[in-house]
Amino acid sequence: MTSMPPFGRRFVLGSILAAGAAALLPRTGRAQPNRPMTRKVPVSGEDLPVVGLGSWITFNVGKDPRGRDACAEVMREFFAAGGRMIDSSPMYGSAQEVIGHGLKTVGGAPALFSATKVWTSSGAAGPGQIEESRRLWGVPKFDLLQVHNVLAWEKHLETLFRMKHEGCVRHVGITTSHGMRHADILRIMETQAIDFVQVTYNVVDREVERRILPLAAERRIAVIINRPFRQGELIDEVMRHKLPDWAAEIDCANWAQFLLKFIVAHPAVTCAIPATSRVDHVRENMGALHGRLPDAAMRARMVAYVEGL
Amino acid sequence: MPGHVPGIHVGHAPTALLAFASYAGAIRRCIDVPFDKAREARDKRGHDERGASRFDLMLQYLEYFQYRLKDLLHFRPSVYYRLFELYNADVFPAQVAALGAGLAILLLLLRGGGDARQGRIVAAILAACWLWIAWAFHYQRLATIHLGGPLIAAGFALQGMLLLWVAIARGGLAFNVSRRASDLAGLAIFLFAVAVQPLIGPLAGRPWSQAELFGLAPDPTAVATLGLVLLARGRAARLLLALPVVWCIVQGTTLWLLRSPDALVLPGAALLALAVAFRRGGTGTARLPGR
Repeated sequence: MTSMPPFGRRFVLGSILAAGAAALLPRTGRAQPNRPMTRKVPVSGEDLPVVGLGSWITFNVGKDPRGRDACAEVMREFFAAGGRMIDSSPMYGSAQEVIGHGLKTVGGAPALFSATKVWTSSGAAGPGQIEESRRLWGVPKFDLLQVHNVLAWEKHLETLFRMKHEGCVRHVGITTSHGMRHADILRIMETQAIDFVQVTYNVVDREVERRILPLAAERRIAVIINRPFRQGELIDEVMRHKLPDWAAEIDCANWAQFLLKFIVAHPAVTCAIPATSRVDHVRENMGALHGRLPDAAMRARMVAYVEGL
Repeated sequence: MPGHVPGIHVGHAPTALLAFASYAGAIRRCIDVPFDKAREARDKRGHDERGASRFDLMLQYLEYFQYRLKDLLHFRPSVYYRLFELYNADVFPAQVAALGAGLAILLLLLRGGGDARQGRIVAAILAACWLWIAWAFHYQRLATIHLGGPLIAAGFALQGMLLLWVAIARGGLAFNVSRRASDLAGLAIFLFAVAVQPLIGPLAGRPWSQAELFGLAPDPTAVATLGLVLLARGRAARLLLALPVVWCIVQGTTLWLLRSPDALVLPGAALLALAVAFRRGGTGTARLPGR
């Protein structure tokens, strides 16, 4: 099943080191029955719950009032469970407008950590697109602006850094997905003062463990993880099988928590952003904010188990 | 568990590129091993080089071969079909007019005679349908969930303009329905689009409120146009095959990705129409009326 680094000595050693580093991080990997598990954004020291909310596909419901209200309920449940980060992009169709509708419907969300992207090949068009996104969300400013899929990143980072300097955005980042453009991502992480990087990582897509996650830890860059369920394919596949009994040892009641806890147990990861349009799925996902996290041996066992399915 | 095949975010990519991406994905899978080795070689070389070498650029382009068709879709099937439900409710009772238009075309075909007025009316009705769908469905509604919506609307508008040109400047479509196999195939395709295709969704379990009707919805309108173009005489009429065929392939791919049970209907109709058109060859080359 895997296409990424094989489960072997490198993974075990990496996991042991990761677990060691995790022990040094505040409020991570320890049972916190009532408080959502958080990670600090290195540059600002801000606490972020380790599970956020993505909006790719799931929030693209157009003008459909029923679909919009369903998304608003998802957001209400997300905030009620202690969630903060919602991530979107101008590329996601009507998702930003739907998020704006959801924020109005739930009566505002003081805890919101708003994250969106700039996605245009024109550097000059970037500011206008960002302003349009801000209008759609209905927020005074974004907590995080990212360059989507490394598109025209030199021009956009210039804009974003200027905005950060002027206080128009709090954090700056860059994104990729599906394992694409990792060489460029690494180069940007090494040379630019970005606060966040967003990449794909899950129990079967683990290439970022090789260089990107260690570099993020070294450079104190917060890491957002997209495609934790491979757009639903991964969870659909594993759900054909019984959740192993030993998942209870890390307080996983379902496969969603199993997959998410594998991700957020990595010490370099700040948060994962599963996308869903269902309230029951939000509840499952947000359950990963509580209970024990897997240690290195358990993470290795999780990989071996999923690869063996 | 399935093998890993990474996907894509493309955004503004024209929907027509969907088909290309499919082939690209297949090619990429064939070159999977050398691709990974090349990437590893680049990684070992380091990342501190400013500017992309030709090798890097080549790899960058190769990486786009990792995209999958499924990842190009920005919406869920339920959201797509819900568009039709809301659209049908908004345009009611236009459904009556659409059914009337289909019936009127059928009566004009069966009346025979091949006069110019008959052909003009049919071309004008079809033009109105394509232009209406371009504006009311693709631009006003599909574009709210599909970044390619405006492009698709432009394609439908172009087909509408072509039909108008045929109706006004070329004297309309020339029909002379006979018992020839090509005519029977054209008639069957048209009847299928008007009378059977709208039933497929409900038969597949979707609500009646989401039914797609000729004249209002793109798919049956495109298939009906294929049938009518097969029935028409003249080389100019064949120009009108191109966009409906492209739509049938693109939309068939979309429906396949949406796991719709009727995904094969459109490509099947397009293939049948092309096969009949090519088999007919020079037999349908009579001049359009008025020329």
